[in-house]
Amino acid sequence: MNVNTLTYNDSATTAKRRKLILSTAFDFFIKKSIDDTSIMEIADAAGMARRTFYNYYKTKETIAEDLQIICLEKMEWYTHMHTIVVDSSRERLFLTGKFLLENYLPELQYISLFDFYFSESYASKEYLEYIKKKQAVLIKETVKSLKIQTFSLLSKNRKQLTLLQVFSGYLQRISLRIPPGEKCPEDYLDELKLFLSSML
Amino acid sequence: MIMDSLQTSNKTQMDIQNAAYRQIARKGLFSCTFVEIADSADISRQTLYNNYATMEILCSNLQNNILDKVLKMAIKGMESNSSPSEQIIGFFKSLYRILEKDEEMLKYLIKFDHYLTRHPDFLPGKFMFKNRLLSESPLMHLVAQSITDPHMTEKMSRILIESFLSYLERITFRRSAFIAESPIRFEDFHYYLDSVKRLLDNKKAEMS
Repeated sequence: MNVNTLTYNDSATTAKRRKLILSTAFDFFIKKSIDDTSIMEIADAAGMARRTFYNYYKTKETIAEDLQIICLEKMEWYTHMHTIVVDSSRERLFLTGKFLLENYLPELQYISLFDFYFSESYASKEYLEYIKKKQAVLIKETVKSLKIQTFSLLSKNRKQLTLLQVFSGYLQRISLRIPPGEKCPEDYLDELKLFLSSML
Repeated sequence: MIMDSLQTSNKTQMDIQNAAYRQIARKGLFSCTFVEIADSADISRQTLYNNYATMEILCSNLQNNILDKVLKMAIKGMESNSSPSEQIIGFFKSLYRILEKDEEMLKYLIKFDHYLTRHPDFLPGKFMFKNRLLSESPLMHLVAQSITDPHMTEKMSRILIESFLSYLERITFRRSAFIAESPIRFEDFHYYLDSVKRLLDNKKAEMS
């Protein structure tokens, strides 16, 4: 787990401990969901006194936000899509989806759980700033590079964006159907292919 | 809105279901407790237990009531269009119109489904919105008429439902936050419907 993405001014020992907290919390969140995990459970499993733990994180929501930033950074799926050399945008999206389901399933599951947990409003300003700066630009570029043939020339980008959003939502739904720790079944990839044939 | 017209055997049960509904829509089932529901319904905990002995009984009653109502309204709101694929689009439009007007209901249904996905022991799968859509909506029947391939019917219906729900989830969760510069709007729904039409048309062309 790469904690360098986060903007803490940690010493080597502190960074090591933070990493331990985050990876322990990640396992709990995936297995039990964010809602059902308590700070005490994470502290116990990380072998830390609660007092020490609170020096790093005051709430589990802050841990969840940090993990979300790490997961998004790690997946870099929008960037990955640019590296796939195929003509068809449908194939490109399928290969991206397949790549994520096969290589980043826990991260996908986590991002879905995060969405559910913070469904009312997104949590911290820092997280929102991160999304605004990083993801918005990447999504724009992705939409542009997909060159999706739209039915209507008007509001072309809006359509692409909607479809891209439905696609990522669909990936998340697939990921949550898979029990934690298991691999993505072949069937789900066929389903994804069929689903994409509707979009593009 | 939908909650206003729920039918239950007595007023107390109606109040309890309303309170549970509000709590679930607001906080999700994960952190919803019996005490909070009793407080919100303005009754004692004992009265709540007298009416619903467990959270499972209360939730199954509430979920049944809501899903019955939503599905009936969606089917009623469908226009009698000519082709099965147009009727499928009509069904999604009708369902969408109901949820568009009642955001609280949208949140409730999505949160409830999410809870059941993570906690399959809580209630049987038939209480999930997506499963109910598959088994009790006219969707399977219409897809079967539209593509005339029995092997594909269930798969296609499931994909249509999953993609519809993923669209709704995106609206619910990420509308205002994820892409700050381009928030997802309700009116983008026709883009989604275009893709449904395309899926059906492609499949039909492939079969013939």
